[in-house]
Amino acid sequence: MAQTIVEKILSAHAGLDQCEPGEFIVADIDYAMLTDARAPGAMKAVARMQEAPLHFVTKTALVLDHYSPPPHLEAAQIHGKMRAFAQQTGAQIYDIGEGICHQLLPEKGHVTSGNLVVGTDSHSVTYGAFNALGMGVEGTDLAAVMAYGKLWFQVPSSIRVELQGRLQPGVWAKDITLYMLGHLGADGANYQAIEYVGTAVSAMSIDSRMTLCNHAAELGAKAALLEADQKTLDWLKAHGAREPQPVTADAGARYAKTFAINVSELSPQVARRHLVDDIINVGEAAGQKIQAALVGTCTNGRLEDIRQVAAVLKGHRLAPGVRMIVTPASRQIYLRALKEGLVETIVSAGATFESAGCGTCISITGHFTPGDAETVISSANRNFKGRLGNDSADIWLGSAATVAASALRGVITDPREIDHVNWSQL
Amino acid sequence: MVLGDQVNTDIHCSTKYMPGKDNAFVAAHAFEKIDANFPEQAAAYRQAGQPIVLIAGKDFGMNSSREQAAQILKEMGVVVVVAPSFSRAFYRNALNNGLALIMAKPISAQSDQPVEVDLAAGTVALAGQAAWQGVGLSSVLRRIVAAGGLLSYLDQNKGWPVAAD
Repeated sequence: MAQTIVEKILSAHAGLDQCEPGEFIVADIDYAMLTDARAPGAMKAVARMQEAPLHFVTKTALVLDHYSPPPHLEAAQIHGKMRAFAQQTGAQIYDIGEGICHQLLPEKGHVTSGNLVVGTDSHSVTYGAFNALGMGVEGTDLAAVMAYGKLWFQVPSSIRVELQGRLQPGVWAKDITLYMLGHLGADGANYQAIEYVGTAVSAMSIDSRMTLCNHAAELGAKAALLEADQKTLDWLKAHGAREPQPVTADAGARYAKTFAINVSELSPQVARRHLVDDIINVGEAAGQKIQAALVGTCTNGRLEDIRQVAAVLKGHRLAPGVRMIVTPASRQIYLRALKEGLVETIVSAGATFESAGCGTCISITGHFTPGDAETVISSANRNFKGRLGNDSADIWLGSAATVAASALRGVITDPREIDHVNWSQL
Repeated sequence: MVLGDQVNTDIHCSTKYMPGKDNAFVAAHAFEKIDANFPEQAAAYRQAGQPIVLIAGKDFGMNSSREQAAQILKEMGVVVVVAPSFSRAFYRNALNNGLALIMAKPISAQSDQPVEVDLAAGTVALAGQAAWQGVGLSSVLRRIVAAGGLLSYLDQNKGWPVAAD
């Protein structure tokens, strides 16, 4: 029977010739990830399991990214327990400032094409950019995986989305997902896997592909996957990944839905306050004042995003009354940004840098919390009311380019209006 | 008992009560933002030894994933949640913590109506009415739920005895 990418990866990992949507399977995991946000529960669960063998713990990364650096004693204690756990069990540990889990796993060579990877975070879908099946799971799941290296799944149905045409300069992968959120809604791909194909995907950088797959979590997707091409294989090799085993969908594979989007016509998109699927063209938001601009997160905190910010701010100052914080997704990205002079450009314009971590998304460190009646524009993935720790502030979402252009002008701005940036060179 | 659409984990077990409060405390306040009588009514059923089937609207358990959300429902005496859809995180959390689920089209019911469910068949029948056909649980998932959750199941079975199914 013809199978989708997800069906093929799951059946191969479950020792089956084939599987179909809705089927219950138990599959072998290739790599697992546990963040500091879920570690207390998972470590407690491991302790509760009788004679748990912990066979898989050496293929598990513990990432200290949510509370990075720890904002209070409770977080510091969690980190201490994670370090001790890693020491005792041989689990890989990535300490504070190393980066956000979804950036680190591929960057450190833990993900390769054809893999099945689980992590205790909904944005584990990011690994689909490398033709790997990445899925978010919970603390109890991770305890079971560390013990036995296997986990239960129900095979999702798939949606195939063809991205035709080519993005205009100044329009980015983030804008594609925001556009899809506007049309499909936040539950548009609930329980389902999305396969993205098409010329626009081929043309994308690895950074952009990671954004595209990552942001599918907001569509409710269980997974989002791309096929592997030469760009993928080169990147994986450069990052020391295991031997890739690329998986393509069979001709005649069955999809719950297929559709095409011509991205050539797409304008930059923004999500209005509180709802990830309340989407408008950036032009319709013209004049909307902002007080804070945030670039970072596992969605848009990569080198490509920081380059966009630097291009907009080079030789300029932030608009009066606007503050901006940029947070690289990993230490490696931070170092590259330093080497390229991007940090100097951005800081000279009046913005601030934070060490790599998840703070931008949820202000768990408290550094990103807005005041009452303030409007924030962010390159993050979610803008629910109160997400940054204040119910009385508004959060809008846009690409790093849109956030930077808005920080420069003090109002939500189409990045293509910034004359001194040649977007086609970025 | 009955709840509406898009009941999220903040309404369910507000962060206001966390960390530091135990599940019994949170269970005494669960869902009070949308139905002030809910915790009290649930406690009455529990004291009478009557298991609770919770009939909810779409996207049950949305918002931040908290395994505690499933544990609190069990603490309240809920044994099965019936809803048209669940958040993916809640779906895993419920089954991994021994709480059964049935996915079924929206069902209009009264909070005090007796109801019969069949997890294997995925049917939900209100007293005196024809059964609604939903999606139940496969045999391993029913065993995970019966064991009280994933970890107890793995303890009892020493790993994953799937070949035996």
